[in-house]
Amino acid sequence: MATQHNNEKDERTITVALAGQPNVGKSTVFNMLTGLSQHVGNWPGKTVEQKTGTYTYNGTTIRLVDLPGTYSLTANSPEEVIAREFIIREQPDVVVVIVNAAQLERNLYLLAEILPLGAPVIVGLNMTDVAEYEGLDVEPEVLQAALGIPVVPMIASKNRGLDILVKTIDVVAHDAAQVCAPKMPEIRADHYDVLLSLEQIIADQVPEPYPIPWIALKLLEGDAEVTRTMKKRLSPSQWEQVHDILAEHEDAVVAVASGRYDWIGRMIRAAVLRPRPGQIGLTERLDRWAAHPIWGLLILASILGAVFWLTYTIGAPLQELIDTYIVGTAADWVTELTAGGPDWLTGLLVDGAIGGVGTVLTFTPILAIFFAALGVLEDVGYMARAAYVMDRFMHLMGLHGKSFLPLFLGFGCNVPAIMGARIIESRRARLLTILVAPLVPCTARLAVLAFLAPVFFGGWAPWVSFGLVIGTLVVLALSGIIINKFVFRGVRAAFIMELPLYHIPNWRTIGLLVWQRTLAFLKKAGTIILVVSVIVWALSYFPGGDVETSFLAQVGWLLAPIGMLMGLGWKLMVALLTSFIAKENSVATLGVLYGTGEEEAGLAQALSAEVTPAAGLSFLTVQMLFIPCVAVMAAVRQETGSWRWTFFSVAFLLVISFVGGVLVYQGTALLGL
Amino acid sequence: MPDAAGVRRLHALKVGETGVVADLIGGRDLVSRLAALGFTPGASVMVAQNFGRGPIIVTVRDTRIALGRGEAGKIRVRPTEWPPHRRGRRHARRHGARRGRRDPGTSHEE
Repeated sequence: MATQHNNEKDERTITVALAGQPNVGKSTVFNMLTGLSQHVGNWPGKTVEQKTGTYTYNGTTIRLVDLPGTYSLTANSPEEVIAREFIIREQPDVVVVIVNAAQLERNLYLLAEILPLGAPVIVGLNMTDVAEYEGLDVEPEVLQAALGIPVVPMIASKNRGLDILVKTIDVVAHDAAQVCAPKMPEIRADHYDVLLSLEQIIADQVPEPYPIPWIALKLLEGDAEVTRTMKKRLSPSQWEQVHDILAEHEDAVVAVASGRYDWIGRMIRAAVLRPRPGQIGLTERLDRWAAHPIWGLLILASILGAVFWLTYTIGAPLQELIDTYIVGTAADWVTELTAGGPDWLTGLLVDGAIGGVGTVLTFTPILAIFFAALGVLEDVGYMARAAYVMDRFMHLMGLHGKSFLPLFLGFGCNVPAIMGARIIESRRARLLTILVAPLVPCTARLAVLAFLAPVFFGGWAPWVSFGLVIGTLVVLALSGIIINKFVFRGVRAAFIMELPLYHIPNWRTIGLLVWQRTLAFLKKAGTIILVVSVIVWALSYFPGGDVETSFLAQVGWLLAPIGMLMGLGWKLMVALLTSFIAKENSVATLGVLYGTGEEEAGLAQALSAEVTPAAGLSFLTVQMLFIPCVAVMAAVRQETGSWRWTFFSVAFLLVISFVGGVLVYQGTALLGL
Repeated sequence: MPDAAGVRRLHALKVGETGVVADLIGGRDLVSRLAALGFTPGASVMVAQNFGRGPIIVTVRDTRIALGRGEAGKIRVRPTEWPPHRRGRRHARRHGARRGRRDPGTSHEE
């Protein structure tokens, strides 16, 4: 290993920031370099995912930080602020900007924003195979000569060129001055003097380590964050001067962007040979179907149908295996182990801990398969098309197409749905997505529906179930419309979305995605769900030692008057309350309350004898719309960062579920059913 | 309807029609996002999909971008006659103006 003489080098850790616009294969590069050494967390104080990882080269440890994928570095979104603050404040040794060779012009825009920040930059010219397929001829050496910084051609998905990238990172980290002499982009000539006078006014007030020209440029671009900072720092008379200049040049934002694109044009003029215009590529041919308003919807429906089919066909048997062999065995084992101890200890461990976390665990295979299927669709580039064809419908709710993907994730579990809402830029649209996401019927709710519907409705069960699912989605749409109209006053987020080129998925990227999402879910199951399961179990056990006399039952009795309106006795109300731990608990609770234990046939008999179809329909309606489970509530709190919105979400769902229940019960009673 | 200078809103272009961005109107945030994506004055654009309602797909700087009609309306373009072999061009030119008259978005701010 390390010899004495390069010890000094060993101790140094090189920090490399990985930047790039969306859809350039940045995460593939990151995954290829770091593999399973990744750490996924959040950027401090933000609900934006932060991925870091390490690899070693020549005995040096390289810490790779994956910056959020952004189109520019203007403070339009938290991602953009994070990316630029990291480069300016943390001063990474090297910034690697990944660009898609097939969209070089657009992708170099981010480079034009990053270069003025002063860090040494390497361009990773990725997807050269895609460019070739599209008929583009890109010459890396010519581009390198024009830019004045290293350009490494590569095909990350096929692990080509990454070794050279790693070597180049090492060279630049040790002696940037020798290889990096970038030609800087400039503002469009007609605004050059304006920029200069701005720089002069602000020069002595720009905080370290921000470059003065960069701050001046961002002021001209109307960057909200920079403007706020400088307004605070500048003296009133200085600010007045700045303000006058900015007011006079409101169009400067276009001049700045144009300046960057002019620079890009000069950089790529010699390096890129374009195909003859009008050539129709694979992407365009596929999009004639996939993005068509009618065919696109049919394709989307069939793909989603297939995803569900696959998930349940493979997932359901696995779920049963886990339930019998792992959860069941663990429960038996703990029961035996605590046989001599007090009853409450067995109850706490078996019904509380294993009952709560175990049932959640059994959903893991279903979720993993679901994540994998969606991961493939995402990596292929299809999800942007799904968002595009769904935009017309999401529009009605004041949302746009991008909200479709997270909401669809909700059919697996609402937790990833709420976390997935991060891809939506506008805070309002993200919040609205989070608020309606718990109304997507998740696997657990569908499981309860699948068990109880035949009990209440016999042969009519499939139709009733289908109707309930559709009804829930209608309620979701109506809720979106109502919240948007009355809470957000009908403002709509702008719909601007790139449709990436279709490409062959990278299995490593998808594998890691499934692994990370599943792990995040399991972590949640292991912590929050465990704690709350135990608390709710305690409420259902104490003071008397059984559910019938427990605190929970007392709440159930308290709620009985409301229950009456919905045709629900206290037992059904308590079952609803326990579904707060995990939705599928309501079946288990009914088992306890009707004294039939876990045996499902007995429960089915008792229920069909005691509960009328009208009450059954009402119960299932409330169950579908009821407040989300603990895990979802925790996710809402985490993603909105606000207790107010969390309580709003719970209260909102409580109201619509009870209103739904009352309407259904009284409606069926009126119809004489 | 095209004004004297022949400037039209992007969503008034038909499938296959091309144009050059003339200017961007609207709020600074939106303009800044559109400009970053490549919609700067002088950039060529081509409408790849437009069904008369709902979002449209535009190609700009080798990228396909989906835009809501509202957002597309903030981009004003000067239609070009090029490239000459594009499918549907003649059709689009003949009927484009008529469609433009029916579409209030294209004329009222001129």
